[in-house]
Formats: sequence, structure tokens, C-alpha cells
Amino acid sequence: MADWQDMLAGHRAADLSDDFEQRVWRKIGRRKKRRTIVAGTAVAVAVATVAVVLIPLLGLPSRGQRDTLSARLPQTVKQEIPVSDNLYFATQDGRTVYTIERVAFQNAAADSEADNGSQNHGI
Amino acid sequence: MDDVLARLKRKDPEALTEVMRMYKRQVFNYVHLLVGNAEVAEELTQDTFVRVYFKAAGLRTENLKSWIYAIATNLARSEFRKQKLRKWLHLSEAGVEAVACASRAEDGVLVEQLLAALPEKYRTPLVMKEVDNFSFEEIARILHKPVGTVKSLVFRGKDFLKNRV
Repeated sequence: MADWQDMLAGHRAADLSDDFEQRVWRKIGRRKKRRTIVAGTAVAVAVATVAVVLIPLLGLPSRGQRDTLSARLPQTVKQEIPVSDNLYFATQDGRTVYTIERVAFQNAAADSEADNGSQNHGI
Repeated sequence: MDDVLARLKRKDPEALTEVMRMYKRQVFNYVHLLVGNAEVAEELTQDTFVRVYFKAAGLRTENLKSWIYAIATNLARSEFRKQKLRKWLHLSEAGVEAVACASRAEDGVLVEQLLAALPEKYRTPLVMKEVDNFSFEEIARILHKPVGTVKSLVFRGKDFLKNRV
């Protein structure tokens, strides 16, 4: 056998540190933690990207678009129907009776009459 | 061995401890001969077993030793690349000097100096063949090279060392 082969075969590396295995486990623990953080970040980024891509595709309008669209909608006008007479409704068995009385209308009419009277007196 | 492999794939901590007990010295010796620095070799050996733990689930081969050596070889190669880059950037002149002093103090200095002079492409297959007694076929599988190429690299490495001694 050549000299260099003897030397190679007889080579013994320096001793490993006593806590070799503990160090490996510490490294594994650190890597697990890092993996969890990376995975969490990746999921968050993926969700954000999907949201950014899907919102325009699904046609959900932005705030500006919503304002423009609502401005285009025809404005509904509430129609007021004054109650001129008292109305009565009753169930078929006559046990329950509903009444709509013209309370506000009466008061408003009385007020306007009073106004007219005072103006006439002034003339 | 099959049992250890199966448990390792399930990430059983006892299995990794067992594997470390079986291979840590051999892997450390191998990496030490490749990189020529005990401290770096120990770091790389630790990293090898960290990778073994995380990658065992996807392990297809039944030859655990070859697989562990493949991981160690890849890590040593990345270390070579880093060293080259550091040398190129002139950042670690002090570090290299310290390593050289430490090496001089150890036994087997001559082996390390010889191997350090040997180009990396010859060093890895030669150490695998001569120190770890792998067959040419196993080395070829680990290094992803044809068997003929491995034989030629080992032959040239031996030739280089013969001329140096």
C-alpha cells in the first residue's frame, strides 16, 4: 500500500463535542420555528394576492365606484297620503279592532286656521 | 436498519439519535478530510443530521449511509463555494490563518495538507473510496456521475498524491 493510502486510512479526525446531539436538536428546533414563520407569512401573502386578484374579477366595486353608482340610482320620493277620515278595521271574528285616527292632520289644520285668522285681523 | 429508516421517516426523535450514534464519527471524519477544518466539519456534520431529519420523509433509497454521505458531500461543496467567494472577497484572511495554525497543531497534518492541495473534484471521490470504502457504483450514485468518470477521478487523485508524497 502506498504511504498516502496508509496516512488516509489512519486519519482520525478530532473529537466531536460532547453536546453534538443536543446542538443538532437545537438547530432542528430553530429550523422548525423558522419554517412555521415562513409558512405563516406565505399563507398571508397568498391570501392577500388571491383577494387582490379575485375582487376585481368578482366585480366588487371600490369605494369610488360605489359612490358613482349610488349617484346614478334614481332617487325614490316618499309619497305622503294624508288620512282625512278615521279608518276602522276589524278581524273577521270581531275580537280585534284597528283604528287609524287623523290626529296630526287635525292639529295641522287647526294651526293653519289659527294663522289665517290672525292675519285677517291684522288687515 | 429498515426499522430505523421507517421510524426516521415518521420523524421519530429516537431514530435520529440512533442514526447519529451510528454515523456521526464517520461523517465527521469524511467531512473533516474534505474541508480540512475540524470546527467547520463539525458544523457541517450537525447540518447533515438536521437535513436527514427534515428530508427523511421523502427518502426513496434504502441505503441510508449513501444518502447521508450525499447530503454531507453537498454541504461540503457549498462550503467550498463559500470559501472561494470569501477568498475572492479577501474577507477572511485572518480566519484562514487561524485555521492553518489549528491544523498544524493537530495530528494528521500531512494528510490534510495533501488533501488540501488536491483539487476538490478528485478529493471527494478519493476520500469516499479510500477512507470510507464505498464502491465505485455507490460513489457514482452519490455524486450523480457515471461510474467510468468516478474511476477516472479516483485514479487521477491517487496519481496526484503519489507524485506529491
